Amino acid sequence: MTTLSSDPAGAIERSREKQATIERSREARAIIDSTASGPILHFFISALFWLLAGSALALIASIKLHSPTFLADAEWLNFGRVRPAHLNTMVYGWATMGCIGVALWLMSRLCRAPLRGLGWLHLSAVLLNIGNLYGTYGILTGGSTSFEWLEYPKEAGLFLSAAFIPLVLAFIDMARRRKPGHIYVSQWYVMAAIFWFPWLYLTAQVLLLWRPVAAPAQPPLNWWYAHNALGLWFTPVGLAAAYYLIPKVLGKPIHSYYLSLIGFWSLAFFYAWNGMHHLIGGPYPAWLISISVVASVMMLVPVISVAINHHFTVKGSFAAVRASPTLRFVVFAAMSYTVTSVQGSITAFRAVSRVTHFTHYTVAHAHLGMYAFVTMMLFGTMYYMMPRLTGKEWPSRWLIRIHFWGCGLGVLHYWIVLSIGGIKQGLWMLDDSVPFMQIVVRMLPYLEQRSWAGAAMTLGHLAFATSFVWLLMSKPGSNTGPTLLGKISPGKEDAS
Amino acid sequence: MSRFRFIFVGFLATFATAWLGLVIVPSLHYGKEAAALPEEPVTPELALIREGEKVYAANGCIYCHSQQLRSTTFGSDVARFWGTRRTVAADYMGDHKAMLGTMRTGPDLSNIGQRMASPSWHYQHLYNPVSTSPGSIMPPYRFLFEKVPVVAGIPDPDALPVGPGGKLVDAAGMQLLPTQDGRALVAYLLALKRTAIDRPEAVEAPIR
Repeated sequence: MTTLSSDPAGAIERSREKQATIERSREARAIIDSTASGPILHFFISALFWLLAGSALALIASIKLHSPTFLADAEWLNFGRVRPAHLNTMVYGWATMGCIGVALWLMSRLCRAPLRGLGWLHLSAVLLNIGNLYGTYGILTGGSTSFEWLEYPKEAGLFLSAAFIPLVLAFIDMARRRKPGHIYVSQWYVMAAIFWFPWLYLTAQVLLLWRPVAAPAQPPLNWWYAHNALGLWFTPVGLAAAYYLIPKVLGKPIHSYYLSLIGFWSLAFFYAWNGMHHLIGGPYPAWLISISVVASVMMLVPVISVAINHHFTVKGSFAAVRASPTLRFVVFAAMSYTVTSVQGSITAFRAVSRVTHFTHYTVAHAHLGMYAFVTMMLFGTMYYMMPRLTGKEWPSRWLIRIHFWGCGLGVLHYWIVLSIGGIKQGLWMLDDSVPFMQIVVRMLPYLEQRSWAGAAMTLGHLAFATSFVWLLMSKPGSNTGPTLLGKISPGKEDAS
Repeated sequence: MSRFRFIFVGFLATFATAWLGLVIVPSLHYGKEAAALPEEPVTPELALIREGEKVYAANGCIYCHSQQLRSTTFGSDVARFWGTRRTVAADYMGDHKAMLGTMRTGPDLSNIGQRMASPSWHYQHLYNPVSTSPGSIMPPYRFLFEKVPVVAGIPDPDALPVGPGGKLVDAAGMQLLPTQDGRALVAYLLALKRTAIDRPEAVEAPIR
């Protein structure tokens, strides 16, 4: 080591200070993560349970569509009950509980405010679990409301709504305690989501289930809710995670700050006007549907700004994307967000919807959004968070690989097969010379392929669940250093 | 903090405008129209139909069957004889729930009460769909039926054949009858005649 007799520019002093700042913020992050770990693990373990339950329900529903005699005598496993039970457990069990865990952690880290009132957050998780259990039981025993995305019997909604009270308060509390400085775009997204979703959910619960509006007004309300539950709840949390993790793992700033602002505000402005395009061709005035068609097309603005921003941030670091389990899933999810959104804008055109409405094409599109985007984003974020919350590393590279390829290839197969099948189904239905029953029979191979795709995704979920439980059971310190799937350039200490 | 407050106003404004435009305005509009309708007396028949609407919802019929007809320029619904015209908002005014549906794994049911007016066809079809519709992938709804002893040797008119040659009574003297839920569901299906009345707003402008 050379000893410097003098330090005229103060360079050493400055670098020491910088080192100390890095050290301090690392400690601060460790405190934030360990404080949050209790409630967040509660949300994540519950989410994982619902993911597995939802997968089982999904497989049963899918198999029944091509083999209707499968479990035909079990009244509670009837197709018309298993299908909404699958959707609701995935939406309110898996995705909602996963997103809450992610949002709490992002907000806590970005505000540099350790979580408080942990008992209340545990209570929120308990309420969500009760609501989901009661709701799923209700659907399977014949209590479904048949409002899509809101099939849980109305009492389940009381538990789900109550669960959001401590959450909203916790977010306001963190916002008030935040350390001075710049508000990062991820904070905007999670704050907006935690404010929008309860409003959305309460509106739908009250006006559809408790004090129902006149029957013709129900479908618009139903689709406004269902579309915006994705757009104003899962999407903002998913994007917040992507905006946080991509720069974090790569160790470089987001490409453009201003683009992220345009992306946020155009999403806020246009997304809430979506939903009515689900009623194209339906018994409604043209203005109502046209508003959502226009808003759907305008969604290209936020989507393209986010896509450009993420692409230019990731550009040149594709080796890291391969090596980091987090980035693999997050980048897959971010790309899916672009594809599903552009597909959504195109589908909203009347000429396209004329063919694809009432077909499996819509089901494929929904899975591209809720699965390839939201679910894969949650997986990626959990890969990053878990080692930091528990101080333990992921135990097996192979399980991560099975998880990624099972889910990734599974959902792509699902989307491609059902999109092609759906378009054909739509074209055949438009042609009245094709008898309806013939269309039913011609669709069978596509429906069978859907079950195989679902099986691949379920395999991925089982691998993830194994990995997750194994990590929780393992002794701290038994595995040092992040679990990576390839070589990563040195200096990226946050890669995982 | 002041900046979060400013951002918050943005959250509120963007969401509230859409909420007013897409939720409150249509709800008030159709609510007013519904309030102007004369109250329908609840006869036992109507009560059974309303019960059937609940069975239809509870068993998720909407996931495969729509109840909406698109105009003649927008699909083959009328050409497939699912109805004589497109459906309009007023066709759903009397419902408790408008179950328009978003999927057609099976055919549209807007007018199933007119297209298939026989209750025994519906019972047969619900009990074993492929027996009336070969190739169908509709699940059998056997739980909507039960075995009941025959009273005074005369089978019920709604009894389903249980043996070879359409026998209505099995060796143990039992007949296969729809449950209360089964009867309610069929009453609801038979009442689905959405395009039975003409409505001026459903008339389509001639194509220029």
